[in-house]
Amino acid sequence: MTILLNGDTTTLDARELTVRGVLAAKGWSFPLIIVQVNGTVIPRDSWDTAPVRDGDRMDALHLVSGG
Amino acid sequence: MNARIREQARSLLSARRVGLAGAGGLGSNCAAALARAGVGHLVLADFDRVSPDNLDRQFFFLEQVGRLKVDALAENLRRIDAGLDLTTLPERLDAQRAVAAFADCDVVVEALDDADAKAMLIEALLADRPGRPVVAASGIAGWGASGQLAVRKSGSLVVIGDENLGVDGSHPPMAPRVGAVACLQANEVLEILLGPMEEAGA
Repeated sequence: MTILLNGDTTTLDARELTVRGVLAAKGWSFPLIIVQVNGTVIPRDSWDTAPVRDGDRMDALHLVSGG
Repeated sequence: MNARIREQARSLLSARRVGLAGAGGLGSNCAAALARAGVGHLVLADFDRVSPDNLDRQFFFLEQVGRLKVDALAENLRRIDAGLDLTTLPERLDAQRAVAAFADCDVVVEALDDADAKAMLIEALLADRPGRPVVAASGIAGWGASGQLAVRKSGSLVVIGDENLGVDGSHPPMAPRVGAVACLQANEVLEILLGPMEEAGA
């Protein structure tokens, strides 16, 4: 499938993945990430079930401390 | 600049309400920029008190050490605009309280310190009201590297910073970089409330 990941066209070797599957495929293991799929936030307790499909737009935004 | 456009912008902003979660380095400086720009209603939430260490980057003054940040900030903002409508919440907001506290806000600025708290707040606000803009910050520590400060947009979420450098022993929070991100947050709030600026020569 091909998705728009953080604004970049990205092809992943699967027909469909979960949010966690996409993060794992990219090797992203930052402790705190906000994930949005097609502009809708996916809370972390749904990452194992929320699907990401061909044509979707997924953004992963990395949070670090400091304010 | 056309005086009429300035007055139109200030008139529009005077009717808008912006929430600030956190009144530290980001929140206090962002609030000052919003107040100067003419935003009429601000909701300020922070449980903390002003400490001497805060004065290196936060919009507070020596004689305010020991006071609640929301009270000290309200006082400073009213010295900019005596007519500001301010709601002060001297409390640590959990997800449920944050949703209620900012229910009437057109935009919420995430200006918390701790990364876990940032994630909790952003997820709660976006899940509660999809489409209502949230302007967050991530990666403001240290100095220099101005070009690494990015503005990333995803749906109704804006994240400003380098998304890399957390505050730690090697990367202290310092006034210029913290203030730059705070003002970029205020700048994004203005674009959300006023719409994109007309291009020069358009």
